[in-house]
Amino acid sequence: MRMLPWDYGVRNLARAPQRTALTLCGSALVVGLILTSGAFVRGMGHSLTAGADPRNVIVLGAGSEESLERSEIAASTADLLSATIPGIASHLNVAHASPEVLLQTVLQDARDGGREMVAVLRGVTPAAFLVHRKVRVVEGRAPRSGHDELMVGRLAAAKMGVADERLSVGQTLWFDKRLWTISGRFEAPGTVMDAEVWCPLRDLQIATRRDNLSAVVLTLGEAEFEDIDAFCKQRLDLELVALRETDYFAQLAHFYRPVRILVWVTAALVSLGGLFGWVNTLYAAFAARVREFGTVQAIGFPRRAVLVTLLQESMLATAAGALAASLVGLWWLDGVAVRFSMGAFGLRVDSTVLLWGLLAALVLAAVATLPPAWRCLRMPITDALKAA
Amino acid sequence: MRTFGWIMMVSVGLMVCGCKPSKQAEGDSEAKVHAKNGEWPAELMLAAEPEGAKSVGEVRKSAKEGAEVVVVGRVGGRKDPFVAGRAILMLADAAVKACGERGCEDGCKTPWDFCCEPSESLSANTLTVQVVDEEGKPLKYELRGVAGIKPLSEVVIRGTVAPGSGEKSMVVNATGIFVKRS
Repeated sequence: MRMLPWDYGVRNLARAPQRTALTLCGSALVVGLILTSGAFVRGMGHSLTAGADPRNVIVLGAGSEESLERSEIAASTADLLSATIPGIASHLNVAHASPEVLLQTVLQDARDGGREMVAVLRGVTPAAFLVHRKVRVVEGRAPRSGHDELMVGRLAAAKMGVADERLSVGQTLWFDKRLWTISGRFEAPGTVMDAEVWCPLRDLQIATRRDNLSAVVLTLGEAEFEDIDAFCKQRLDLELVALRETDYFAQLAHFYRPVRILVWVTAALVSLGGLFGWVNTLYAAFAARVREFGTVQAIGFPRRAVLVTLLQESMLATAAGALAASLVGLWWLDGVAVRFSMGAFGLRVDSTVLLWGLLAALVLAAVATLPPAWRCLRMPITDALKAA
Repeated sequence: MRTFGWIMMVSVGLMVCGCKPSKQAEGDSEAKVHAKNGEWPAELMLAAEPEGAKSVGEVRKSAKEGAEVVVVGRVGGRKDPFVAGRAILMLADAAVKACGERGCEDGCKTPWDFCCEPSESLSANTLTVQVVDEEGKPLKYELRGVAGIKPLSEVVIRGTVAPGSGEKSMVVNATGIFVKRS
């Protein structure tokens, strides 16, 4: 089949610079929306699943498998597990068994009244750093027990809805009518812990008037998950259940699936609106070029060649818009913190999201071009040449 | 152009075929499961129901460490009453009602966890059954599926109350299993 030259389609874009610019901007907006939605979905999914360590096992209260915050287990569980189950990872005779309390609570600017900030608090011992290997102290130091000290995550400010400087080292917060000092900051990239506030376990237990734990997190060494599960099912009096950390976060990700679906549905509906507007614009644009199409066919190029050129023009313009949106997305969107019930996560503009954006632009361009192109190319050559 | 199109179609078709797991691979997976489960001790699965079976609740109240017991109950007590890769299951008293057996259909996906039962009552009417080796360690294969055992299966266990069992929890080392109703 005889095809029109590639640069013919490229020059056509320059012949109508305003229309091309509008197509480019429209495409950039639609792709920007798709990139934002994709970054949201990927970011949320990544924080809920990628942060889970396949070697970690969470031991929590039976019946609380869907929420660590509701779980209550005996304070002695960590020692019992370490002593009873051989093969738990250890380092210099310190077992990788982290007893923890997790709760969502309110921190305040002032003792009475003041701004209230919802935060996720995790009471930990030093063993937490052995178990949660993605956690790194990046500023200051870990909090000391008995000194009313806290350590905040990199995204804790986003979760609490305050400026990052409000949670810098040395700043203070009120909790349980006591003044707590931020002793350090940590990061745990790609995990929900990145938005948490950590404090010594005993201090949190005293503040919340509880002597039990939410969970014990273990790292497997030579032991297998089945050994932990067997222990929980042999000691029914302790009312424990064992979950792989990956399974726990997978079920949380499943819980938030409707949110991710809703985001995509919204993006699809808005894109559909953009598509209809685009089709309308192309109907008018192609109608003004009917004579040109007739001339090209008269000199020997088949209809398919003209169609391919029209697709080329649309896809070039939308791809340029997609590229612009991708650059903005990478520069501005990537890493932006989004608050949700479990904490906060960063938008994730990665290669998959960029590919979705580009593919969406190309598909929309093709879908928008075909109906008006078909309408114009259907016309007999003689009628096309006579068109105004 | 046409030749290029055919080459693309064939390539995509080959990729799609390559993504599908072959039946040979699926068969290998089944063989691995059976190999992992291993040879089931022939004398363990009983042909006839042992006599004198007591309910789980009765055994929990009266049996002491080391006692020979025959106990009847239903598999259940947790969302997953089995331990993957270990010969361990949980047994609940047949009188404990599962979700959906209380006169209303609640659509619970795991009725064998007896989540509607108060925790103290469930705790007092549940025990753990395991099949152990000479060292007292659970055998490393799964009871799920053996002779059709699944959650809510009614089984009769003949065995010995394991060391460490007491008022708060009880483990029975099974020497015989009879499946009344799978």
